[in-house]
Amino acid sequence: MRIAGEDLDANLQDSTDRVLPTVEMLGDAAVMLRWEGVSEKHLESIVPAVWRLICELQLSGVRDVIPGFESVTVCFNPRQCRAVELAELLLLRVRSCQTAGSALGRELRISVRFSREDSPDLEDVSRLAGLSVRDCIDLLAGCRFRVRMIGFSPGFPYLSGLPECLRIPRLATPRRTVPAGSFAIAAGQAGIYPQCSPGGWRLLGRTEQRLFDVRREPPSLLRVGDLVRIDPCGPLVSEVSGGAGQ
Amino acid sequence: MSVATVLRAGMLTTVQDGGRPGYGHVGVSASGPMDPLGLRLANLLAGNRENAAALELTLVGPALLWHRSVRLAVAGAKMSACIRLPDGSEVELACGCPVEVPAGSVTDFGEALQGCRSYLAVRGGLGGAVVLGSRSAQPRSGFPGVCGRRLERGDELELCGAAAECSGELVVPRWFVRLWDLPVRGLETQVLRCLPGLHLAQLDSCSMDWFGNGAFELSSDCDRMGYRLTGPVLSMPTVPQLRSEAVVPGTLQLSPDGRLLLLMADCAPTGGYPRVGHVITADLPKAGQLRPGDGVRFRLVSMEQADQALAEQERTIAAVRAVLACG
Repeated sequence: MRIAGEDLDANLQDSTDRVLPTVEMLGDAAVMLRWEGVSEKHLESIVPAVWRLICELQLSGVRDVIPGFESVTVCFNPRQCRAVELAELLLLRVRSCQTAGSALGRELRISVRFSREDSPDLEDVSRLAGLSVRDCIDLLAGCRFRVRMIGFSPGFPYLSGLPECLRIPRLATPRRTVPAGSFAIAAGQAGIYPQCSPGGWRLLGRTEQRLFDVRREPPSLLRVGDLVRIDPCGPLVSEVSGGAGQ
Repeated sequence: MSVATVLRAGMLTTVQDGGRPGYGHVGVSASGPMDPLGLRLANLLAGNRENAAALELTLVGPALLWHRSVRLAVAGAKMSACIRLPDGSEVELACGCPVEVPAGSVTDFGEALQGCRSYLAVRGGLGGAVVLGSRSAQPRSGFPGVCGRRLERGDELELCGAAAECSGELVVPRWFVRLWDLPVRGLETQVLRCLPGLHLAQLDSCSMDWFGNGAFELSSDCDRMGYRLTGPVLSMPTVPQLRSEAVVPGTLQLSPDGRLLLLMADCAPTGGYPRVGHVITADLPKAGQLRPGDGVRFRLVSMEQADQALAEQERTIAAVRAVLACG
């Protein structure tokens, strides 16, 4: 990421790399910047870059900077700054934020166990995808998942990068309780439930890693922009696919 | 050391301070008081900083046994409440002023007579576990200790710092502070001013009219996360398919069944329903005092009006602060 300094008059709009966001006021205490009509690939890099840029500005009165799939929202104390002025400042900074070639997030590996108990939906998902269970696990092990946002519950990552054949709708009836650590997919996305909670995603495996811990700083294992690969383990994993994750 | 024991927890009593901002990007709600003005006033009256940790009492309050003499203040909704002194006598616990109660007293709260939530601040502020920089409780969050749940019978309350000097006698002043009047239940509806949301213009014209002029009602499906409103069913000719993105307390979402959802203090930081409007910051305290069955209307205002309303509110608080500082 590079900040272009004062040179704001350059014709930035020509660059596909620097599409300007639209601005939406979420009432008098939050401003949302959103990129519309932009490719997923571009969103994958611009959202984390702008999120980090705004965090690093450490603007007084700003309480939260929240990345979404195609937006970054800045929540502020309206007693300390005014929505219109903040929006102008943010646009100015974002215009000069370059994302091309910028280092994206970190690369992390998460060990996921596949077993009868941990993978209640794996068989159904494999069948719907026209794969054997082992091929399905192999396919997941080869995915490069990108953390697009964290929400739903503290530390829950929404991951893109699932192959098209695993685009399977969520369960018709959500489960009352999904065990903590469940690795799940639904509607073209993958995710991991950090806490035991209700949920309608299809459960494929489970990790022992703690995704969210209030005693840690930062509390979330993952952050937006991170690249995640899963290392399969457990009785349903063939020796070959277990090796593929190394 | 415990300053008080919870003898009866009340309907929903939680510890709240200024909230837990700064973790929205990892899915943690900001939480904090439903009626921020109530918390600030209670703390000012008790002699604390405005966002010190205090108790948020909901509809039916708790009974607390105080182990030492303390200075208390109650603000927000008016609740019936009394002080049972160690000698067995009973006096009314006044709202909107600092009250000193002797050790061994019980403060016993009944029902909210008007509004929904009262704030009970103790001189020194409440102590106890801090999670991610805040003592605010968020039931169902899984946070450790009282940060993750409501108060229960038998809980012990701690003070944040050393206990301040107290006379040890019952001291009740002859004045009180009230910041605003709540609507009379069943006769008046609360009007919440709001700014237009991105998808407001996508309502059909009839729904647009209903939004601005219709009377809505808080259903029983309401908690610290948000309120489901009944009343006119609103429709959008083409409902935008949205992916999750940020929402904030005050956001009015349109749920798939055409009902409005008003998001409140414990709302998740992200959501995916169309955004019809956003209640202005100055009116969130009023929203926090609504209870099931209360009527509510929405009035669209401009950003300038929202700024002015908040500035006016801050001037009022500043005036209270100045008066209290004069002793």
